[in-house]
Amino acid sequence: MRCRRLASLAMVVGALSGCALPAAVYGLRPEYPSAMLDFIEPKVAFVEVDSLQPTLRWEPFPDAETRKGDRDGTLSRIRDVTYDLKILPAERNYPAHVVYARSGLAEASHKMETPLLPEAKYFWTVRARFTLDGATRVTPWSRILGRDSSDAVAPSAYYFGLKTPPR
Amino acid sequence: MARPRRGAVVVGLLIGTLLGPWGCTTKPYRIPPLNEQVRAEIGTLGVATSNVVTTSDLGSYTGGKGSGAAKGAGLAARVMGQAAAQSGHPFVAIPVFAVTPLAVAGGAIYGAIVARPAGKVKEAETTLASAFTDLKIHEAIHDRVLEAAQGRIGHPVVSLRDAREVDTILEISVPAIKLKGAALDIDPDLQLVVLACPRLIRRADGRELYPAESPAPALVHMSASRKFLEWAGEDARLFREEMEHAYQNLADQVVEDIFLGFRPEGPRWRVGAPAPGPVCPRANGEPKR
Repeated sequence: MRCRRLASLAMVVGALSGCALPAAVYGLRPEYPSAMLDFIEPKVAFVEVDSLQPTLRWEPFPDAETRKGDRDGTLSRIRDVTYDLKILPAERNYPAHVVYARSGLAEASHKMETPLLPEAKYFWTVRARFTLDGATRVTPWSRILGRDSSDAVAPSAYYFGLKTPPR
Repeated sequence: MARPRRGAVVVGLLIGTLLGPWGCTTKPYRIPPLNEQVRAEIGTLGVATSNVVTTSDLGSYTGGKGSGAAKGAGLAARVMGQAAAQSGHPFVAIPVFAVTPLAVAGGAIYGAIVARPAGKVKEAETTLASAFTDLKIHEAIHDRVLEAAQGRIGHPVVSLRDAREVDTILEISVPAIKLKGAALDIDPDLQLVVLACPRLIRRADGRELYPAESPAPALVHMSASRKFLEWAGEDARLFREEMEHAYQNLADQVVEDIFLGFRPEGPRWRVGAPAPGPVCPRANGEPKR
């Protein structure tokens, strides 16, 4: 009886491996591709995009939820919001060196100007850049909230994952 | 009654296990940002290095068929022993013990096959040790931090080597460099891990303005993983190149976290208590110029 239960459990785990669920996000929330976490292992899932030059999109800063939490009105003094973006290839599921970076993007989206490699996995992350009382400030690079994710480690294995199509 | 209760416990444990990684139990680090008043009083910033000596852990990997076999056998014995102990049931433990010699033999064969030749591993250790000795760590991190801060933080930034009249000192140390991989592996994938520890000190009274906590979490650069012999190949080319990336990455992290970082108050920006991670050693003495 016990063996049968264990076998059923193993079958469920096997069926779920490779599946992904929407992940909790720290920082700017990605809209396309979305932030997903592998169902079985606590690691980033790589979401397939529609082209080798995808248009990445994320929620603008500050979003309604962040504004609601702003008790002392600091956010009302923020000016000139732009965004920084970086893309890093995944090597053995860990981000390697930045291959694409843009700073000062005016919109909360960006169509890549150069193509990514086909059938490849990448990590990507964004942050807001703005002036507060005349000084330049940046939010933390956004990432998935994973069990051992941390502000102190960079690059992070919890940046968002994307996978390119064959061609 | 016992059955439904046990069922509920199993379902609860399953849900807990599955939900764990999605934010319910996360405890990422949060480095406290510099407060606004301190930020306004920085004045002229002098960049310096510290007296902390960098430690390295770049060697001692399994080389040679004999050592590989011994390690493989040892690992297999350990895994089987743990499996038997964790089962806590004689009907499981006895068969596990019965097949342990077979597993140990298998582990030994696997270890002998996977282990790299002893001579090559020794040579690689020597190459990496020599590459570490060649590094001018303090000079490199000092120069990168200076470069990363100049023109970006809204205050004049100079090297403490060149100027004595500064209001605040940013002292930076690199306490450790190591190759980190899974211990339970004969030839593991290894990530280069480099730690950096910044301190901000007010010159007038020597007060430490940053970090606000002790022991402070170290900033960490982690590379993608490579095999031991890959790190050491071509006179440790990948190791030397990755160190250059580490200096730049850590310098950017230091400057952005201390001087530019902004974390709003909303729930999206809230994280839990610090997770265990590398911490900075207590700094002693005056910053080096």
